[in-house]
Amino acid sequence: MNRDLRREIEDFYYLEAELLDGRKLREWLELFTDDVHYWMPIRHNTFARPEELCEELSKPGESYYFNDDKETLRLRVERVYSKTAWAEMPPSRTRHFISNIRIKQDNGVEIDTHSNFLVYRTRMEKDRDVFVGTRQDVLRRVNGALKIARRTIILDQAVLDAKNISIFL
Amino acid sequence: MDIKSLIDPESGLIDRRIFADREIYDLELRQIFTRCWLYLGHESEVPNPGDFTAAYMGEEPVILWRDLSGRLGAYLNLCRHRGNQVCRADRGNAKLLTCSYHGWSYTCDGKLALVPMVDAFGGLDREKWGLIPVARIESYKGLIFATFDPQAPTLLKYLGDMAWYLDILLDRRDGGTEASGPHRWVVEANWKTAAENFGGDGYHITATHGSARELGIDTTSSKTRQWNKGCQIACGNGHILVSWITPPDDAGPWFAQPDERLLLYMKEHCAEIESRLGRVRARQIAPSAGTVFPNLSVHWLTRTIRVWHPRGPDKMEIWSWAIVDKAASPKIKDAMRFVSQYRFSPTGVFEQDDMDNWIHVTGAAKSLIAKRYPANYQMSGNEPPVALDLRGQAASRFSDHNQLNLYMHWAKTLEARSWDEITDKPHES
Repeated sequence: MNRDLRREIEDFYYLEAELLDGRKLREWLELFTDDVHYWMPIRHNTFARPEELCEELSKPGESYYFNDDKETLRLRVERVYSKTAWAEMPPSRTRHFISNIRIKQDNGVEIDTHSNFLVYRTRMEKDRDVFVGTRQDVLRRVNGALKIARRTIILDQAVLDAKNISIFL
Repeated sequence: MDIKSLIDPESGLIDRRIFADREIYDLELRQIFTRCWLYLGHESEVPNPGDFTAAYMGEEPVILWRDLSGRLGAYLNLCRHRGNQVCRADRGNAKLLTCSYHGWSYTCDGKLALVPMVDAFGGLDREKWGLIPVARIESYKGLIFATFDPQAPTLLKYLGDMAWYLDILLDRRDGGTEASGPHRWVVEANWKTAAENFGGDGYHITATHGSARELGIDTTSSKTRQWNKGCQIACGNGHILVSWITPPDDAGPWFAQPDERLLLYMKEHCAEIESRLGRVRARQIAPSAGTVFPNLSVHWLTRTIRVWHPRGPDKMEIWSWAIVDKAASPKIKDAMRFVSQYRFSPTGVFEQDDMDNWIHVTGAAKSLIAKRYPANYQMSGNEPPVALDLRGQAASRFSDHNQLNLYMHWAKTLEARSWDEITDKPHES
């Protein structure tokens, strides 16, 4: 695998984490292509075989945490700036840790990547949540720069141990 | 404890202890959650023989399981032998569930089918050691409820006038509805804070959800909002809802739709919808939110139903489903689910803003000083009465009529020894 590409992708994810943790959400939104699909399924415990983890995840036509395009993502971002989006007023403090980055496929146009995330959120006096999971992205080069064309976020928890997901994972 | 003294409808005061007191909570589990009809799931979640899904009745884990003849049953999720949980999956299909501890196995009609080394038990009567069933299980238009109390009235009698309003969500099209979900999440708030909020709190929308409206995301059409008429309705038996009244120049089942695609869909099918629901329910009202006592809430406009499972006096686990018309096209179903979950779910741009309110209301109920000061439920409303032929008792939309009705029924249920004392007399129409 091309070491320069690997480093570029790592840098891209670190930049993304910096924008999210620095609450520069409008800039963060620019990291996505205009045709992005931002998808986060819910999950259930099943009697599936160990390698059939995807059986736990909701599919298109079922429920989800996120099923956004650029416009509905934008509305989420703009809402946070409105000052009465109470879930984020006062705002959450997040720390995104991105690791285990794997380049799964590169066809010259789009690059499939997998990575793990650990997001630590604190807010107000005592709010404290840990979100752990994996991201499966399709990256595309637009005018030379990497952009996220598709993101699937898979949370490890089945029952969410948090009052909401008012941040971006 | 004198429960009725906690609720003072005359002066509109409620003792905060109801939101955090352990003794009251234990009484709720016993008097409400082992007696009332509780929501388990939707028939579309268990369509085939052997299908099961996990559920809760209060804090009791149960398995909703369809047997090979197609009959639905619900059983405590515990092995009769030592009490180990017999099913650890949230959903699936099984003719047989085997306990992981000693291997006792139960068939999908709840019967004990197999006991390893059964001879060593000296004549164990397997008939007597089946899974513990609920007392009764019944469905209303796809919604499956159960009760642990054999003395409970029928589900239809229990729902009373609320069933008439539930039809507006459940019975619009031939074939009924289907559910997707549930979202499940845990919130450090008393379950009643949510039941009360969904049951009639139109008052909080502007302050709590102003940010969504600012961006043009809403739960109903702009015409309906501009017309801005509505009412609270108390159906009896603690069931309450708040409803919009239709703007007359745009009367039809489409008028409250917050999404263009759904508006067109309703226009396309308005004849069928009106033939099923009748004029009042199809053209004159549009319920927004309500609560089926004790802990099932419904948001008609965005098609979500949810259960506020009690998890202690200061904690609940929310299970939430999106409900769509079965007869709709896949694209329309997707649009309905999106309208629902973009607004109401852990990521929902409406719902995420509710949580801190309920958490802090619960927190206040733990404060020694705050408990000296009752909570205010004195909003009596000043809108003119609605002149429509509605079921139940209508009141001003911006009032605490429904909330007090809920808490009076709650207090009555906590103290009542029998269903004769609990059940309200049916509404005469």
